Amino acid sequence: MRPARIRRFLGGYRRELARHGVSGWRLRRRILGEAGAHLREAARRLEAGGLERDSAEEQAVRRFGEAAALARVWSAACDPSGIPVRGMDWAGGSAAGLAVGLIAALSLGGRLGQRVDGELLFVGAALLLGVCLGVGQWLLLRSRRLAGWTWIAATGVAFCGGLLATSFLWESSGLPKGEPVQELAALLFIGGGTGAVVGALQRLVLRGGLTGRGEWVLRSCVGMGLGTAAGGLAAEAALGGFRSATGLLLLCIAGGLATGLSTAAALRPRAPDYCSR
Amino acid sequence: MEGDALKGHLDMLVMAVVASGATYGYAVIEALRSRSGGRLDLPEGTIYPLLHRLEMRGLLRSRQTPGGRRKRVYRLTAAGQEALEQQREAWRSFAEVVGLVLAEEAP
Repeated sequence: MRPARIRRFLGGYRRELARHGVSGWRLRRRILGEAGAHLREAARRLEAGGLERDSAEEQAVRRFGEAAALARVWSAACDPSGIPVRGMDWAGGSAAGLAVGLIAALSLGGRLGQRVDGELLFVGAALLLGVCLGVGQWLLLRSRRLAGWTWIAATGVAFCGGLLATSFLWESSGLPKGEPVQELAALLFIGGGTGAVVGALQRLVLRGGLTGRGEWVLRSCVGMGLGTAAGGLAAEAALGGFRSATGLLLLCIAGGLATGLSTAAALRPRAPDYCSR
Repeated sequence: MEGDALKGHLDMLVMAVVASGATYGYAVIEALRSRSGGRLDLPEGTIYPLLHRLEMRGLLRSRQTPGGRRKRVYRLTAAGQEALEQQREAWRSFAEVVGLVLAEEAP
């Protein structure tokens, strides 16, 4: 049978956990189970050391800590923003977002192609790609409270603006085009530039105490630039060029994966400080 | 020991005692107390959120033991071993630098 003083403490602890928003019956059962086992063992040892049972229980409870203070620590430990996003999940979400965006853009473009101006189609496709990239990443960020819906808007607008601006700059640069090396340079420039603009706007809406916040723009630029170029190389080797639906899909997947892997390292949360509480 | 002095080091200390064989919460807090000569005397309940957080970060793994007096036992994962080694190395280097600066000049 559970000793009375320990039982009373666990009852109070349960209420404090609920009051501090530590939710989920599995977690609460685990917390209270571990606390109960700890207190019983501590009381048993103190009793074996010569204390009366009641005093042993009282001392065990006192050493365990104040229920309200412990519940506050649990509340911080269970804050989902303290859980890092796994690199492969983040890379997968980014690549899947871009791939879905491309498929949607190609599908819509196929239906609207006859009726809508080509440049407008390009703008729409770029916006769709950016929004889908934003959604793919936001699905991982929202449960950790690292970003709200503005993440999707920022990513969509930045991707569209970055892609249009860098494409225009490259086209109007007067540099020779057509050779595989020049195509690769174009992918590096357009991918890297778009990544930089996306990174800059995402950084503005990224919440939380992340350790890699300052590197976000650079990581996004490098990841998207190198990923797009790698996708271009793979498409050149496998398909003879990237200007086909499969080739573009390769670009999107490689670009998304590389951007995700590059920026994932910057999503490290700052550890909560248990000692200062 | 003051809480501020422990800032940022408690994770490393807990992983070190888990690595040395303290496998459940009570044993971890006892090991911290005894290995520090009684100077590390935290409220015992604070160890559990910390263990939980290390588990969420993939540095520890836990399982419930079968039987009547069920306990949750913890062990370091490969990532935890690696993180512990890195933190040990960083601590040695930090302690060496501070020691050099604080050392009194030889007469």
